[in-house]
Amino acid sequence: MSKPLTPAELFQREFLPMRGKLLEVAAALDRLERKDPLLLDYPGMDQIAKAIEALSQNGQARAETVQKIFSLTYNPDWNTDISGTDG
Amino acid sequence: MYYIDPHVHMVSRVTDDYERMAKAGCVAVSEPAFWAGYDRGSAESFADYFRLLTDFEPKRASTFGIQHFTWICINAKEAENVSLSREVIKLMPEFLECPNVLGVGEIGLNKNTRNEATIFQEQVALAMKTDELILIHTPHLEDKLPGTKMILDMLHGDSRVNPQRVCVDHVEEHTIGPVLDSGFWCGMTLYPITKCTPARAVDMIENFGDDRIMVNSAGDWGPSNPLAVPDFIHEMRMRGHAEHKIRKIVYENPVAFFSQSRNWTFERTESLQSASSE
Repeated sequence: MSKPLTPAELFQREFLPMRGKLLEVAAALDRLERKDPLLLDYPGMDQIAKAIEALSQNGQARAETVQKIFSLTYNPDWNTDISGTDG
Repeated sequence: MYYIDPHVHMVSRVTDDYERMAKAGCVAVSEPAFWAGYDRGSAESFADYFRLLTDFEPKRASTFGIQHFTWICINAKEAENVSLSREVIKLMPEFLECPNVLGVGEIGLNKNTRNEATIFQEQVALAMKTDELILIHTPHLEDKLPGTKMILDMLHGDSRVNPQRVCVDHVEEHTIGPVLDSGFWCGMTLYPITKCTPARAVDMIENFGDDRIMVNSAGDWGPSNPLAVPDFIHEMRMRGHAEHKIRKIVYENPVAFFSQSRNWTFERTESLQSASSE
């Protein structure tokens, strides 16, 4: 059976993958800007910026925060506010 | 380690995938009815699809020692066509009687429209008539959070629904809490890009525990990996989680949920039983 990782072992395991994924995001942003600087103003890029900002926050819910940045809003009155088109 | 893939669309996979899954330890699959990548033109097309799920796929799986179970429904995407959906719903009771059918699924929402909600509720009502288990698809990407909450609203609004007999699938970090807090089972889908990676699935296990939770590959015609559950097992082991905890998630939990179905005829082999005592 595997042993639980120590904090140092966990850091070692996560560091290079995190570095690599951040580089991928950085390179993708460079790629967009290289093609056309206006792409950085396209719809959705504001969400990317907010998500990057969220990574610097402390706490245990960064992934949930990023998910919500890319989510539409729940309307509790949806049952009366949406209409059908068929049937 | 033996495991069950509780959500995989084998109709979209080649026979070699069954062999690879069997070699990786898969002993059973559960295959929900889903959107095949194109809108079907008639209810007869669905009848043919249901025959494939209840007749052909069990035979193909058994060639490799995998027990095949399935679910019947009109999926959320094609539910936008209400008249066609109602024709399909009329076909469903016959197929719900087939020996490998576990219940109604995967029903749910796609773009969170009124028509989708109408057909979702009509299929929940059908499931309640004969006390079927329900497997639920939650929407993709930006629609997932509001769609999941709409689904929970509809289930809470039907007093006949027992949360213990419903699995809400494709949960992620922002939806798993409300689903588990409401008493439902949940499924995490392991996809290469969308939904959930094995590492994030293990994170959610560490944050939310291992009760009423399953992991699946949802292997289908898009980017997906039918061996994603073994990848999850590997990630659990790499983080030092105990074998019995891993086995609970990938084997015992699916057995516990599915065994509520009258058609869960899963046979534990002697080798499985001896493995469980190791």
